[in-house]
Amino acid sequence: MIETLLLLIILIFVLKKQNEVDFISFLKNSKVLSKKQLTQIILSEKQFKIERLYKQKLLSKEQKNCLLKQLEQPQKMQINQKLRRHILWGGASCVFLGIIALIAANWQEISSIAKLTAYFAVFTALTARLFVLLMKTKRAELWLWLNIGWIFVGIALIGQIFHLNGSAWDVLFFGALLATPFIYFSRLKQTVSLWALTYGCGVAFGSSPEWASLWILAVLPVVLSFKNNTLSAWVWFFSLIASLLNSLWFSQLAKTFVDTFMPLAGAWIFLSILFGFVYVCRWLIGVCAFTKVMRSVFYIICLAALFGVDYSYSVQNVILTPQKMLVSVWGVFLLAALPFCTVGLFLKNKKIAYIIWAFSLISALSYTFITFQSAGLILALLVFAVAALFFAYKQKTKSFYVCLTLIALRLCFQYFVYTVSLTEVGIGLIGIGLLLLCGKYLLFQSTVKGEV
Amino acid sequence: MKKRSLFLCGLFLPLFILLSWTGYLTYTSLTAQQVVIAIKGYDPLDLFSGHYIQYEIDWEKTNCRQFPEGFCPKKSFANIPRRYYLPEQAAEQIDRLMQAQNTVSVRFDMVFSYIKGRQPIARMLLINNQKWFDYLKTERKN
Repeated sequence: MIETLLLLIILIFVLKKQNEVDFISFLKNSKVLSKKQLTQIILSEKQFKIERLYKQKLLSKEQKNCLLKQLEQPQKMQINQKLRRHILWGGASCVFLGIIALIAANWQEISSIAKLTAYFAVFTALTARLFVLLMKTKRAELWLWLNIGWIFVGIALIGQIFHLNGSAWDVLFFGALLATPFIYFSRLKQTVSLWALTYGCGVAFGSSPEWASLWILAVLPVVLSFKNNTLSAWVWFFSLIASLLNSLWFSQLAKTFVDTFMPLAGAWIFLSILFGFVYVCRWLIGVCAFTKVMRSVFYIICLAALFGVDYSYSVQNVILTPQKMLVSVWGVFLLAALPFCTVGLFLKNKKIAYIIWAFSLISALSYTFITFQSAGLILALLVFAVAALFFAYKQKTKSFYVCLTLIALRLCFQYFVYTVSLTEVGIGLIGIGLLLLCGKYLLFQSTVKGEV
Repeated sequence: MKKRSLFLCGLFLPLFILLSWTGYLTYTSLTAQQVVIAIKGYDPLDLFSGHYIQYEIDWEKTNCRQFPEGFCPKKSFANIPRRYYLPEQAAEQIDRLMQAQNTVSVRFDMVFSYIKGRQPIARMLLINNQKWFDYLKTERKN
């Protein structure tokens, strides 16, 4: 009830704000004018603007005529293009997730042979597509990632069907090892580095003594890393030493030798992984072109995740329940965000509001999506709602949509919590997806006709 | 042409490895001798608990004459995976049963595909000599 009210407040506020600044939206929402009248008004307003630009000598006569000619043509693609695309993607994603949920609901009834056949059929298709693309363009990074991801899916599937055991690190190592041929075709240093880091973590933390002895294979990533970037090869070099130490750790012959230097070995492994992690984070930041504030938030999350993983790794031998583990990760999130907040307060920085906002968001996000407790869920909703209002007021559309998406995710989570059967979830998602797609078709079909 | 062949070999290598692995596992589990081994519950406290049951082998309750060696090959089973993956709801129910194994008269066995010198592969969980899903079905009816 509270959630619906909040959502309504946000929507009313946004509509009101838009009406203040956008005259056309106001006319549209007033429902006093017919669609034909609206189209004529929009057209005349655009013509007026072009004429004004011409009078200001910002446009030549030829440019003006060309623009006026284009205006008279039907403008199907220009009308709410982004929104249309979002609805289409949203609908398609819901249907896709619904199908996945239905498959998951009947997972036990599907025979192992059918599962494996489907898996290998998809894998063959993915690799064939990658092969065709590489022969043509030599760049197919997305398909490379899909293939690599599919390898991990395969390992998990085979492991489940044949009841094989292994830690997550072993899976990382084996998956990265199998992905090596794909990496050779990669043209992005980020792909190579992320893969090298995965490989490094797998070898360094892998629990299986036989696999740990395969550290020698880690020479390959070094060679491949040099192909794209010398620095990433250094990252991997550190991990290689870490792997070597780790393999010695498992070796019975060298046990006494390593026991003496165990603290040193542990520190080396930790530092090499930390170095690699920060390095990859820096690359990611460069790729995504984050702002300074976003960069701080990103570092907090990365550090928290790193320490969370390290904590869970160190207490593995003690009794560790999922709840304890998740709460500890949440605690680390808070601890990591707190110094940033304090520094912001003392410096009286202009960006203090952003920092506090980031702190609240991180706490709320971690508490909501990690511990799944009701207090956190309500807190998260409040934070998202306040943020949505703030961004709507500032006319920052992208950020506003991010907040709305988070609220939607929260509501989706509620749906998953209260719906017991996965079949119902699947049917529900497919229904929502189809509704969205139908809505998109009906809504925009009429808008386009009206505009024309 | 040579480059094309190299591309093909390189790209399809992971697929081939995974296929060979699956083939090997399938062949072993289908052709190997089936042995039934008694098991008992083990407390699985980790992130994925609730999606599988974790067990220990109970050699005292196992019939050792079924093995080709004539005795229980404890070494061969020393490093085998001790997890059996189940749907979440069933895992919870069976896990509870395993914990109460001493108080409730329930016998748990695991069918393995066993070839001397190779790692055994778990095939089916038996509860009171019934396949686990059949047992749960009859329990629900009762």
